[in-house]
Amino acid sequence: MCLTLALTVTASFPVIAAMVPAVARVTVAGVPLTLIVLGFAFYPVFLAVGWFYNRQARQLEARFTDLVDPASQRPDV
Amino acid sequence: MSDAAIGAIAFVTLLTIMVGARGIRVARTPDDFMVAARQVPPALNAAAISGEYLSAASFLGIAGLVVSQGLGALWYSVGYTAGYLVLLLLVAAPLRRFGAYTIPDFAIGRLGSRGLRQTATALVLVIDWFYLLPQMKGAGITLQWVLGTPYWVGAATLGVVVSCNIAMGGMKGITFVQCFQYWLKLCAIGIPALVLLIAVRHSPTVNLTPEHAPVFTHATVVDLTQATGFTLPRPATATVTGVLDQRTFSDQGVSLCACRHVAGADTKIGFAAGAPVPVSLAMEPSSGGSWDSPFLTSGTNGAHPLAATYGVIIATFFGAIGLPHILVRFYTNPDGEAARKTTLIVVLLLSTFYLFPTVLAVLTRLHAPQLYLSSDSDSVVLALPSLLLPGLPGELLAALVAAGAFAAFLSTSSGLLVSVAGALSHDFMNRGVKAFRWCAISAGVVATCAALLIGRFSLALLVGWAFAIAASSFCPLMVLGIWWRRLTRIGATAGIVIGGGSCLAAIIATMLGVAESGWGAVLLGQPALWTVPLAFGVMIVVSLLTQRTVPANVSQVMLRMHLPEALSRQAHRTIN
Repeated sequence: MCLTLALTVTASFPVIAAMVPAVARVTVAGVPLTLIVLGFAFYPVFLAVGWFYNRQARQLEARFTDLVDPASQRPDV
Repeated sequence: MSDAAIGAIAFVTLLTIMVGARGIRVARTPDDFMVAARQVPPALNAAAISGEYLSAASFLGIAGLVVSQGLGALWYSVGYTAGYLVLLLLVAAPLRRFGAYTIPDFAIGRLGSRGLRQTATALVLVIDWFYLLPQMKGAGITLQWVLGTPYWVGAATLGVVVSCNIAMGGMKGITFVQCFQYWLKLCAIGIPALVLLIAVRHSPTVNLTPEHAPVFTHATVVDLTQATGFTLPRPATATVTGVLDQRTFSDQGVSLCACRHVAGADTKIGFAAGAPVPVSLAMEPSSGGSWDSPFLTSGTNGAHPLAATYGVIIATFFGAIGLPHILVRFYTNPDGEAARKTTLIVVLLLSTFYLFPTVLAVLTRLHAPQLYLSSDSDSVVLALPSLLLPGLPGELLAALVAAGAFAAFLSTSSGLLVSVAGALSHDFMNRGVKAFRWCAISAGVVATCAALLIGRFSLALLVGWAFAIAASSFCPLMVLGIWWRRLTRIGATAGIVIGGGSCLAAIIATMLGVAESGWGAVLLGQPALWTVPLAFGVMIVVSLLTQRTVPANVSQVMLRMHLPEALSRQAHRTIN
């Protein structure tokens, strides 16, 4: 799910820019949108997706551990 | 160049050797050498991975490519970062839980085939070589720029320092070194970028706007050291000293038409503020597309930019999973959870770093467009500080950048040599510390020699090709090996050989100049576009055809990869 989300967000930009060339021509305060998106905007998205995935994975593994062996030690959760 | 730059490079090199030497006392057994005894905390490990990953291509190549080819080249930095996100989502934790040294170890542990193991080892060597050559090239041009030494001196210096360092310290030393190198590199690119951003008077963003051909923001003398062809977007007058269009001038005003011009070697052309910036014929984005286009044209001569862009996206997003020298670092995490934490920190560290090449490239575009005319776009980052900030401050910043660049080559090629030497000594020779040392030294020598042959390719392009090979061979092996029970050794071998082989063939064809334009150029220049799906397809189809050879212990192996540590420890206690 996280993978699909991240890939869709990133990989859709060239298609959008190709279909609507105006997108590539937009400037925000004199700075091209392309520069903002490619230079800066993707990184926070990657971090957010990664952080969310880590949290989900940790919780899922903790729940699974509980389910299989409720008595097991879980010092790190 | 300045003494400051020479001093800075010498300092970085010495410091690297000293920090590495600390490892000698710690490293005792082959296991210590290979994976630092698996006791590296996430933050340290993440900095080490980033330090190893940020190579010449990131430090010099991306900014150079953005300057020469346009914003589309930023897909490289986006992709290099996204590669770790994909790695986090698909392989980080299971790979660590599996517990093996190298990709060939993974292959034999998961599928139990000696043949596959040797194929994998051979491919490790191919990928590492491809990655090692641009580092040597980077060292060559950096020393060339700083000291004026011939190209081979830089490459040879790097080879000697790295080989000796690894032969002495192994990977424990390297973990410290790599971590230190990340922070050094971040400072070496971040501080100049921020200082220049503040120091350079904020002129209007005129050179960034799409319809506008770049203009000189202040009177500038362009110093051409070698014969250069260029065009002017509109007529201008200039003061010329030297040879222009086969006529000799000495400090004379010349009016130039909006057409092609050829300047001789050692010619100085002075432009007034507001004059159009000449476009070098060698560096003109050949697509005819503008600088702000979000598409990428490198390696394909501008044919089908959208397809070329997706080629780079596929190669970089999926390539990081298959880079042998990076994967080996994941075994130094204490457990799967730590491996995930490490990877997320890596994404953070890389995101921070990649902001700065962008800043430097944009500053070049805005304030030093004469660098468009320099012969090699890869040296833009090195040349920028002293151009924008004359005098001592600029010189010091230039020294810092040169030191950071050298740090980039040192750390990446160290990691690559560990991987090459590990693969050679582990798989082809009797294992052990002594074999490892000899492999490190001989691999360094061979790489140095090979580096002398690849001078004409851009750094980012060369490294991009290493990613393409990794993405179309090891990436399917890792992803299917971890998530698909029905993978067989015949399927895996077929996928690796056909995917990696066709990718390598396409790259060699591009290097030889087989297809210069059209779809041929795209499919050969950005082969990941078709070789990655091909490798996955072959691996799946052949595996489905050979289901009788699915390893008998597949359930056990799958359990080991996917079971949380808390449970596997429990199971272990119960069995004992």
